[in-house]
Parts: sequence; structure tokens; C-alpha cells
Amino acid sequence: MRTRTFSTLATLSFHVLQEQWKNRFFQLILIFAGVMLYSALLLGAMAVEQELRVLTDFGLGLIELVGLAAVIFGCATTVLKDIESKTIYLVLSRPVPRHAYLLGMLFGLFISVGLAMACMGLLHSGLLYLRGFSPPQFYLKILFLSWLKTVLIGCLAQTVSLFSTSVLSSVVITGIFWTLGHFLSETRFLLEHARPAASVILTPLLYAVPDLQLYNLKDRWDLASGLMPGWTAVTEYTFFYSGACVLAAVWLFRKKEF
Amino acid sequence: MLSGFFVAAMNRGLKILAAFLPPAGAALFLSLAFVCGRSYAPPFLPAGEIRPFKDSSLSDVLFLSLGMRRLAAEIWFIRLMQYYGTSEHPEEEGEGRGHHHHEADYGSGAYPDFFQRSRHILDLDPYFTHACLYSAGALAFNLGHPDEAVELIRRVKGYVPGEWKYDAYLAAIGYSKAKNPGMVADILTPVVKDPQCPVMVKQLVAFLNKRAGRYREAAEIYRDIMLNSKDPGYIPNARRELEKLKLLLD
Repeated sequence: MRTRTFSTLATLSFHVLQEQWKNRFFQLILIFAGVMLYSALLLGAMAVEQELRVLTDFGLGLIELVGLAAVIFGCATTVLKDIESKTIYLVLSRPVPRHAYLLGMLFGLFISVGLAMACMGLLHSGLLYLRGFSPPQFYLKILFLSWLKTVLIGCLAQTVSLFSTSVLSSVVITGIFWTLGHFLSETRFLLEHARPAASVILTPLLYAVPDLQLYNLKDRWDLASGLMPGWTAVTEYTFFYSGACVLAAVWLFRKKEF
Repeated sequence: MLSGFFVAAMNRGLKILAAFLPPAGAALFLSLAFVCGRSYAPPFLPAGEIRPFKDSSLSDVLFLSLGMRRLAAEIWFIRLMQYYGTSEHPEEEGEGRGHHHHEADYGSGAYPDFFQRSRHILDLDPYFTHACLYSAGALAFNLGHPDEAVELIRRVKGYVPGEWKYDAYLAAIGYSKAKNPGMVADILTPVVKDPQCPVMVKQLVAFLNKRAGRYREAAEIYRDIMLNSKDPGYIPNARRELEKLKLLLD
């Protein structure tokens, strides 16, 4: 039974991966990333002595943003598209549990975004080499953490898309979470100094908003390692937060009527 | 009859439990995630304490919310270089436009926004050593605002207490106040050899060495600028000065 569930998961993941690669929007994103990475060269040239720094940061930031756009758009539309094209009935009328369908879709999406980010990373490193530089020491680690960040936000986007009324609203809500996720230390500070009434509103926010600064190695890759969060904290956080989102999504999807 | 009732009640109870297991698990996982992540605080100035420069608030919020603090600082640094590289008297602009590297005035002027712009960059990224060296160097040695340069360095030194280049700068600023250019050049010589050193500071030290009659040291720095500078604006001047110094050395 367990083997069958895994094979179903793998089949569904592979199907989503294929769909994502065929998707025109996804290809457009990749082309856009290529063009933008190229334009980073211009920005790098303006930075004169700090060309490597600017080129690296601009490229890494862009890769993450493109990954984010792809994952949010993918999560917000895949289930909806399957419902509209009635494909979901074909899948769920077979012995495929709803949670397997949802997890398969998420895995497929995360793999495709990971592949896209790896491709962009290669392109970016190539540009750096072309300019006579080599990527920073932690390049792969930065890229991996950026991918983990998109995984986390993808799980959240999936949950949001299951209760929001349209693609636009789920994209906007997830975008707000992304934004707040970079200001969590400020929110904590506010909470410490807030009145009791305000803290009633702020405390749930602290739990619900993901702490994306944990993954933001691209903002501090040249600092002493003591100033960075450890792998254990990052892994545990990713596991628990994305697990919470997936459980909530499974619950919502189970209750959904088609 | 009674056992049937109990079985039905148990089944119903299990169904309710199964229905609420995922949300309960989600809540538990969220709490655990909160516990795992709460101990970490980013090693930067909180967003609320960043002092904006003119209308920078909107772009700052945009960059910070995208998690691109470093890039924000870099873009403001490029703007600072463009600001300082543009002559305050456009009619006098000639050769070497875009950079202040004339030996006679080397970057002097009013540039009233220079300090605020620099402070804003370092508020965004206090670990941006190159930007601090560039700004403090220009403020202290070119623009005649050593106190502002010291303020910049002191703010940043709290984040990077072991940075010896800042200590060298503070000492050099002290000697420049005491009108001792030779000592300033001596103190800044190790800084000039560091790869993080801005070419503007290299040029300054070369000039001070030349003024102190230490032609060999000055020539060495000009040669370094000519061969290694990524900023083409400084190369013609370095070449010119090197030719002059060769005559003096011969």
C-alpha cells in the first residue's frame, strides 16, 4: 500500500514537472531571468570597484525572485487548472488519495522550481566567470537556502490558494506574507513594546508569518559564521513550518467539494 | 444494544478526531516552528532605525521586504559615486569627467548631501567596508569634514570591531587634523595595500607621499593604480603622475 502511494506520488510529481516545463509562463520567466542577469552586467560596470559584489547580489536576488514568482503562480493555478480542465476528476476517481494528489503536485512544482533555479545559477556563475570573477564561497549554500525559502512560501501559497476566492487574491496574500516574513524581527520588537491589546493582534501574526530572514544568506554571505543561523535551526524550521502548511492544505483540500 | 451504541459513539469520535487531526497538527507544527526560529535575529540595524535619505523610504522598504538589503546599499553606493563624480561646477568639467581625481583639488567641494547619503548606505549595510572606507576617506581628506568621517566609522565599528582599517583611518584623521600629511600617508600605507581599499584613497596617499618628497612610494602606488584599477577614470592621471615621478627619480 505504502509502495503504491509512493509510486502515485512520483507519477504525479513527474506529471507536474512536465507540465511546468511545458508551461509558457515558466519559459518566459527563464528568458526574463536570462535578460535580467545580462543587464546585471551593466549595473556591475557602474559599480566599478565593487563589480563582483553587485553582480553577485543582483543575480542571486533575481534568481530568488523568479523562483518565488514561479512557485506562487504554480501553486495558485495548478489545482485550479486541473479543476477547470476536469483532469482532477480523472485523477481522484482512481484510487488516489487526495493528500497524495496534493503532495505529488507540490513535489513536482518544487523540483521544477529547483531545476529552474539551478539553471539560472549556472547562467549567473557563467556570467561571473565571463567577467573574470568566481562565485562566492557559499554560492551553492545561498542558492539552496533560496530554494528552501521558495519551498516554504510554496507550501504557504498552496494553503492560501485552497481557501482564497481567486488566483489574484492568493498571489496577493502570499506576497504579503513574503513581505512580512522579512520583517519578523521588527514585529518581535514591536510585540515586546506593544500594549496588551495590540499584542493580542500581533502574537498570532508572529506564529503565522514565516521567518524568511533565516534563509537570507545572500544578505550576509561575507559575514562571520557566528552571525548566521545554524543548519539545525533552518532545517527544523523548514520542516515544521512547511509541515504545518501542508497539513492545513490537506485538511482544506479534503473538505473541498468539486 | 448498549454495545452497539458505544461502538457507534466511538466511531463518531474517531471520525471527529481524524477530521481535526490535521488542523491540530498544523497548529502544533506552527508553534514548534516559532520556537525553532525565535532565537535568531538578523545582525543588522532594525528597519525602523534606518535614517532615510530624502525620498529613499519607499525604495528601502521595497528592497528590505524582498530580502535584498545588500543590493539596496549597493545601489545607493552607486548613486553616491555618481553624485561625487559629478562636478559641482559643470562648466569646469573637462578631462576625467565623472570622477574626482585631479591632483590640485582631488575631490574637494561642498557636496552637502555626501554625509547623509553615506550614513544611509551604512545604515542599510554596516558590513559594507568598501563604502565606509570610500565615504570616510572622501569626507575626512577631500571634503574637510573629519568629524563626520569619524562618526561614520564609529557607527560601523560596532558591527565590525576587529576591522583594523577603521583604526588606521581614525589615526590618519587625527594626524590630518594636526596638519601632518606625512604621518597620514604612513598610517594609510597598509590600507592602500588591502584589496578593499578604494582607488580614490590610493590616489590620495600617493599624492601625500609625493608632497612629502617620498617619490618612490608615490610612484609605487600610482603604478598599482595604473595596472590594477578597475576605474578607468583614474588611470590617465596615474600614468601622467608616474611619468613626472620617473623624471624626478632619475
